[in-house]
Amino acid sequence: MSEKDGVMPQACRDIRDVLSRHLDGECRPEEAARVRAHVARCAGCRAELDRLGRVDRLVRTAVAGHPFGPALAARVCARVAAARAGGEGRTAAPASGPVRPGTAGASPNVIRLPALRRLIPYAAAAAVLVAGLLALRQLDRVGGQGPSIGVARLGAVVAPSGAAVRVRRAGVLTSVVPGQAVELRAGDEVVVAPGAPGAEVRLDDGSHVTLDGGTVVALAGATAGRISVGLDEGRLVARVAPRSAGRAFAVRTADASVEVVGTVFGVHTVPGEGTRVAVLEGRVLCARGAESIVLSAGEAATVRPASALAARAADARAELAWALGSRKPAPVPAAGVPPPAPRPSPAAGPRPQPPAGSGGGDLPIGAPGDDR
Amino acid sequence: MGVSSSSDAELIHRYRRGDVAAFEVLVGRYTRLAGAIAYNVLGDYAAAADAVQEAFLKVHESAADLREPERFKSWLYGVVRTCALDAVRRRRRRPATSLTALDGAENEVVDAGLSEPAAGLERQEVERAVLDAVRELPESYREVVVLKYLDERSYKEIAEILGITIETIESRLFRARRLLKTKLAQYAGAPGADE
Repeated sequence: MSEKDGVMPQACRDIRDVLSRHLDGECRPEEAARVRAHVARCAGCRAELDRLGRVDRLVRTAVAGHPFGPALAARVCARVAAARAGGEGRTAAPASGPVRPGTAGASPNVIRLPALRRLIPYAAAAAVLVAGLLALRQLDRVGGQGPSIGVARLGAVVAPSGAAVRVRRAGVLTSVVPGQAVELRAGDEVVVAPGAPGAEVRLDDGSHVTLDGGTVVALAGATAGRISVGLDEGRLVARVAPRSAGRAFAVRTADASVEVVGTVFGVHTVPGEGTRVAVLEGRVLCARGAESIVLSAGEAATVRPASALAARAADARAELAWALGSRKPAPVPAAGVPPPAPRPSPAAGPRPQPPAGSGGGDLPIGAPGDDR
Repeated sequence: MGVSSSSDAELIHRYRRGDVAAFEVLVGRYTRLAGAIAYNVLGDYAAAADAVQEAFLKVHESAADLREPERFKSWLYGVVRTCALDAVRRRRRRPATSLTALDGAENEVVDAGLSEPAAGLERQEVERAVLDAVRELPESYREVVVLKYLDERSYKEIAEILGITIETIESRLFRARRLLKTKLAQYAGAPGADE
């Protein structure tokens, strides 16, 4: 196929109409086969597919670092928890009748005009009160050390010498001075600069979370209740204080949620690649959607959309060495040594075969002992 | 079956009964979608993240009275969009703090003290050009692009969320990519325009 005199052959036009769909993997199998066959012999359409592919990768890369991940989810949960506690000055009970989907363009909580008129005499006093509260909140945001309104204190973060650690609260980033503890509240985000030494989060319930350089987390929960750590990227090791019923400790990434049963474990996530979970002590419940698996000490799992969720024996101490006092890298297994047999998730059924070229389904994100 | 595998409607019912974990699952399930919807309206990440928080507060407030919990996703779409449009209106009343200014301020804070190598600056420049190109798309195209790339939804899911046909999604993505190809010709390779 070729273009002559600037006129594109009909076959090429037909193919180019579906290239976008082909790129998204939305073509029917026979249609995809037709596209592949055509671009194999048509240089013009092959070049066009390449260009569209480059545009696709450019957009994908540009949005890869977007902030709508687990850290934002943790901040949302913290803010709603504060609202439940009355900190946002809102009530959980809706003021109006039932809300229909599709009518949400208007505020779900509607107050009719006559009701507003009756409220006018109280407006001035309310305005003063709100202004006072806002001023308090603003002080709270700027100073970062004053009492918080309805937001639970969860602990503190400490940065070692040479570390570049920041705490983001209500959009404001505050640098952590090495050696000085900065209080952490529900909804706070901790940002550790790439390439720098990590930071230590000491939770008031006795748990410790060590963050490596290049890690972004946000905290949600209550000191005496559930603690949730949203891990956007990077890696952490959690040494979790014993939990009682209703006091779960969870780490959530874009791929997985890891819930503690009482343990020392590590979670490493790379956006777009997956999440690696390794357990040194105790057990954790590792879930991806409806599928879940309990990981015991000495086991690890990699969580990626396309591969089965399975536990494998792992040298967890080596994987977590970066945070446990020794940064000496673990020895890499000799080539040709067969990996330990996986223990598949009970909920997952028979372990499916990994797709061709996937290298067996383990995560190439720096986990020593990974069999890839 | 754990809470994480429950349907949206079941999660809403559980939250009404006081199960906070159910709400957390809903938030985890839809934060990216909400972010994509808000970003489409606002065009910057920080403002979109604020709108997402506002939207989930409204979800929390209205969960008890949602009549059709099984249609949570489309309802959430409306709530997020409303919050984002409210933010746009607030911006218009405060013209001094433009989207660009806020974007810059946010970046300034984030970047303070963090040395950025030249390659990183180049990458930032390309990313900014790409995001600008996406921002400049007609809204109906941008909406589909943002849901496709930010939330990684399939055509079928995007069609359900927006209430339009899969063919329309396909057509809008096709046209959006043609425009993006033209705008990003220097990065994606010539020729830029579709022949």
